[in-house]
Amino acid sequence: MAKFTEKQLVSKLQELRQIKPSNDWVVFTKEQILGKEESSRSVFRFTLDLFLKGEGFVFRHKPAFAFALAIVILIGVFGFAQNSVPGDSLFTLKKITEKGTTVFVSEKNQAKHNLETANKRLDDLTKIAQENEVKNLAPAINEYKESVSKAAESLATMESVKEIVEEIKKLEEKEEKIKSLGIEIGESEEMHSALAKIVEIEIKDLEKRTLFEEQEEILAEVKQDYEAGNYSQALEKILLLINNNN
Amino acid sequence: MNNNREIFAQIYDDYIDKIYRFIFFKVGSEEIAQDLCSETFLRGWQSFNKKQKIDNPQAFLYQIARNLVIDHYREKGRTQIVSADYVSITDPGQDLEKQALINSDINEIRLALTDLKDNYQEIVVWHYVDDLSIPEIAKMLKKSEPAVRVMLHRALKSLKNKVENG
Repeated sequence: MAKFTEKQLVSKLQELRQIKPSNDWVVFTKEQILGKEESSRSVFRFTLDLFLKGEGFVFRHKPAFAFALAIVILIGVFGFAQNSVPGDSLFTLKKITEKGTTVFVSEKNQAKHNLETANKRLDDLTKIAQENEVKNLAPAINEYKESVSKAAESLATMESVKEIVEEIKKLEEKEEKIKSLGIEIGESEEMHSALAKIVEIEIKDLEKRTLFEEQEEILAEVKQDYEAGNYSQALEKILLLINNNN
Repeated sequence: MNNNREIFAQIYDDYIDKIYRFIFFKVGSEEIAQDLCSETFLRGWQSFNKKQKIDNPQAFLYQIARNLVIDHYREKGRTQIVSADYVSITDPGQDLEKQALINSDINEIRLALTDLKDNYQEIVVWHYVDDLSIPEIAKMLKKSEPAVRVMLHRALKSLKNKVENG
């Protein structure tokens, strides 16, 4: 290429100002950014306006109507909160709703419910990762770990191996998906030891039973999986044995 | 809140071209530059909304953009390596006048710029393309003004070498 004086080079550099994003993209992005935040805050702001500023005649003239409206708004806020993820201001409301439903879950279904909650936290985490909401990542990982610990604690009360396997499988698949998005969530020791205990109990139980040759082979594989720490695989095979044996 | 939105809308209009360009020189891809640029302004808006005030929006946005570009390159698994040689200045489908730029001197300078050391590239873009003054750059880089002048001189020399020697 031809030689340039410094002045010519600077002049050419200034021509690089021609590089600009397309107008359509600029306008679209502006709407996206300034509209995005608005949608999540609008419900709160509307509620606050009504309560704090006392705007609207309903509060001054029709208290019963105002009360009903307040209830509707409250339900709306709780409903809106269901789309929130850890790290959002409305997530606390979502957790309150979830805790409320726990009260109606029987003790023997508690473990399944807790595993389902852990699954929901992983869904939140996946959503955050896909939308690249970096600020929500740490709270979401913490929420997930907390929910897994809780699920691990209640695993021993779970009566059906089938339900454990189903929920654990879902968790593992989602964990894999999240890892493929480049997010490291770490291992849960509590979950590992809880599953190990369940596998151990089931192995002992199966050893007492009369098994066919094929079933003995599967049991041997279960033991190998147990030794290798592959507890969910071991549980799947246990499930197979139990189903064949019944 | 509406006031905040209006203020930030103005900040957006003032800096969108500069921030986009700054990222584009670093990543060499229109698509990635758009993604990182929109993320830069989204974060800027969230932060602005929380703090209500940002002393130097320009420096603040450049800093977010720099961090995002660094994060982008750290995520190796998800990074698509795009050779700058194959990237056009604008969408080639837009018009003939713009397409003509692709083979021009300007494009060669852009390629040489992409090849510069990160800190040299930044300082050249800021000063010569985006018209930032030496004191403004010194403040952003937390360096003295004479140090920035020296750095700018070396950066331009390095760019000249790259342009002339290919």
